[in-house]
Amino acid sequence: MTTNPTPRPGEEAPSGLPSGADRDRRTVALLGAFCLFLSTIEYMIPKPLPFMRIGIANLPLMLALDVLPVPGFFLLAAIKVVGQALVTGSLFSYIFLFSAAGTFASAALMLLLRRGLGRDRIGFIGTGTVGAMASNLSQVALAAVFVFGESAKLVAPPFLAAGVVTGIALGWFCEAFAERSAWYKARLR
Amino acid sequence: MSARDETAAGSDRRAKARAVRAERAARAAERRGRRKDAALRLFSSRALFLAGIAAMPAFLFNPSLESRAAQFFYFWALVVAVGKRNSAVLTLAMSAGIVAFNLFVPYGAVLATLGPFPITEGALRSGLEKALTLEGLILLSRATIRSDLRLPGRFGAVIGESFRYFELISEKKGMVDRKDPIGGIDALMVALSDAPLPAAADGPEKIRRPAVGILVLAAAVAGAWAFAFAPGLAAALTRG
Repeated sequence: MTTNPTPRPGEEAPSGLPSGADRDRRTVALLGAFCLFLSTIEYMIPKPLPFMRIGIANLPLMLALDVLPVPGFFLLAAIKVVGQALVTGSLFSYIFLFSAAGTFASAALMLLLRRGLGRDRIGFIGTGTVGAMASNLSQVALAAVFVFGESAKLVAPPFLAAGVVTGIALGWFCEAFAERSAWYKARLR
Repeated sequence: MSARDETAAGSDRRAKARAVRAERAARAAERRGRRKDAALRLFSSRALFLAGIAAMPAFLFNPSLESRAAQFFYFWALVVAVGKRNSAVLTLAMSAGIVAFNLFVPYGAVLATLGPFPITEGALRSGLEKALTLEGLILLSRATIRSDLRLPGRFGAVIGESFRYFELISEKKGMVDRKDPIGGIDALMVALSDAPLPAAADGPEKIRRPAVGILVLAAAVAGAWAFAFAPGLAAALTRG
């Protein structure tokens, strides 16, 4: 009987694809690049306040829910936050703080729901909506401290409503992408 | 002059004005490009980053609204100096929004009234302070953060790989067809996953830079701190 030895990190797997850890690292880097690319597109879209984004840069993060291990997923979230700050030049501003709070709050909650309930019980639309709400709530809380003070309660309703709409739209796109994508299916955990 | 002649003359004037505006924009872009190149030759992205860190507390912990406003304009000039663009319209619109929202919670002396709505001194100062802080930090970031900044460690290595993939995506974005974005993005992801990632090139970080760049940055940071200390110095001198 012949055995198929497990490749070490950095080695090629028998299929010709890189081995587990190396493949995860490349997936993180690739999805991180898509976050940066979408951030530059998002940067060009006019917005009333710099931290009020549509959130299209979260698409790769949502896809990563099913394809990366937990440490890789949070590494991707960190790449998104820092990379976005480097691309848009906002590393020293409150925007970085808003982005970090929003991204990590939504990433943690989306991961908890998706892995806790399972893909069969919660789709991307539900996950995306909850993620957008978590992100926007954390940003409203920060806006109350740093920008608007008590008036943040006036900004909160339209901001949260916009979050529901964008969360549904991004979730719908992810659902359609996951349905058709050969890349996603090959990496599904 | 007939109506047709007047129309023709009018459209001619508009075309000339458009050409003048386009020429002005092209000249401004050229000047900006020259400043950007000069900044790239003088400052490494790491030195700029450190200068930003050194200047940030001078702005963030400055208690005087007036000198913070002066620092805001100083940072605006720094952004221009490194060859980046500022948008006065966006900055004003954003600041006006922040000030307006802060005015909804009135406190302090009433300065004026807009119908039933009082404009109070405390709310106005608080709004201005918040708008200046938010916008000032954005300007400082824009002046001192460059996308070729390399971060150390494993995280820095992975984010570096992401930037290399980012360049590949920017080159191959034509693969994404508007009629079938999902199919295009998927094909792009498959292609990039299968292709070997190009090795890191010697970017602008590897260029040897003159020491004068460090001196210029040190002077820029000293300028930011001078604005922070100016009101205290002025008060001390007045008392003296």
